[in-house]
Amino acid sequence: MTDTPPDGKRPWQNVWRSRIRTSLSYVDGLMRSVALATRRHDGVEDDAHGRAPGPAAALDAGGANDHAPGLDPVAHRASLIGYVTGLGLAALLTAISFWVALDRETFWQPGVAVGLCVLAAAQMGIHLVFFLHLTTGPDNVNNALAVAFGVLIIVLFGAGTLWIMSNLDTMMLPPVPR
Amino acid sequence: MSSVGAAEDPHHLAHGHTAAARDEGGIAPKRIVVSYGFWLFLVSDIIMFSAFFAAYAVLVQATAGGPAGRDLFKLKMVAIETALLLASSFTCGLAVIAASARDMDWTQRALGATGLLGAAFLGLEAYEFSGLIREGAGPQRSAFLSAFFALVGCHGLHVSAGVLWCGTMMAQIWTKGFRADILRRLLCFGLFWHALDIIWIGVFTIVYLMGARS
Repeated sequence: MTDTPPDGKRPWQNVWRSRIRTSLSYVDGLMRSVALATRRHDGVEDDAHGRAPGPAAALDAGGANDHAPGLDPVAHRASLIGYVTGLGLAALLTAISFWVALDRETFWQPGVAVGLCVLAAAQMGIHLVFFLHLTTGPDNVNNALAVAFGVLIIVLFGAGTLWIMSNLDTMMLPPVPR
Repeated sequence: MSSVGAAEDPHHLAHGHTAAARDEGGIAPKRIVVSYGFWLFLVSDIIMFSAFFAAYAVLVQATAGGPAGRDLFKLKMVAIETALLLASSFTCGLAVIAASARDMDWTQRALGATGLLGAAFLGLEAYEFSGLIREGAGPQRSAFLSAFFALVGCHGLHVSAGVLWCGTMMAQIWTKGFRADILRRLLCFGLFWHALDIIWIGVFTIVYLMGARS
């Protein structure tokens, strides 16, 4: 500890400090450009049918509390933090799926298939919310209803197919010996 | 809704259909209409995939004396494929952010990374398929392998279309700039690419992870 500089910090600490400061300034720059984009979007509506300010805007502000994480509620623009969160959660759930499938000692084996399905459904939900920005907000409720109808069809389709085909399989006569 | 409606219509005689409510119910912005139409396409596409999944689930035992999933699947490769698709979903999101920031360099870089990761995924899948066919486990070997190649190959075809679309978007943004119609196309491309990743979650869970165990 004899070579400690007068400011009480060792040289490697200062190196790491400056490195962290530099990388933070990159992040700051990216966030600034995103903020700039949203502000520009507020000023110039790029759709032909921009919403008029007034009572409609007040209504929108009342009903728009339910917006996707990482999606700017005013400008409807995605932000970095939402995608990073989604990536982290999706990677975590994928890793857990592979672990559950491959570790044959930790888990109760008959329940693994159901567990994998639950993990997959959870990850699909993460993707829908954080990547596809599906919400139940006023401008997104049609999309959510379309997805809900799709889920209904898929469940009927998948469960119905498995039910009927397994039934046929059980009822089938054994092959006639030649 | 309630605050505005109560001020103009204290006894709710209009059942919420106040002037303000009509104002909000006018023509929706084109961005909303376009993305709704594309959501309908995505839902139809996913329903089509559910038919392939159902066929696979019915035929998974029908190996006709040939190899089953646990003899064929290499989970390390599947993990790499999953990571590639997830990373490409993330870079696709970055492209949308960069485009909303009107940043041409980063939009092109992020879209290029998305396309390259997608192409790497396709390369791994082609390697896996050619290996299976060389081992004599091609689609004509058994009903199980027919269903496997149909399901996973259909997803691969979608990814190929997505990679082509990605290149098209790069060219369009480069030549036409951040026009409103081009940005709506980019929005649709993002939805498509993320939906492919959702289908892949089903593929790696139901086909590979469950197949490698049973």
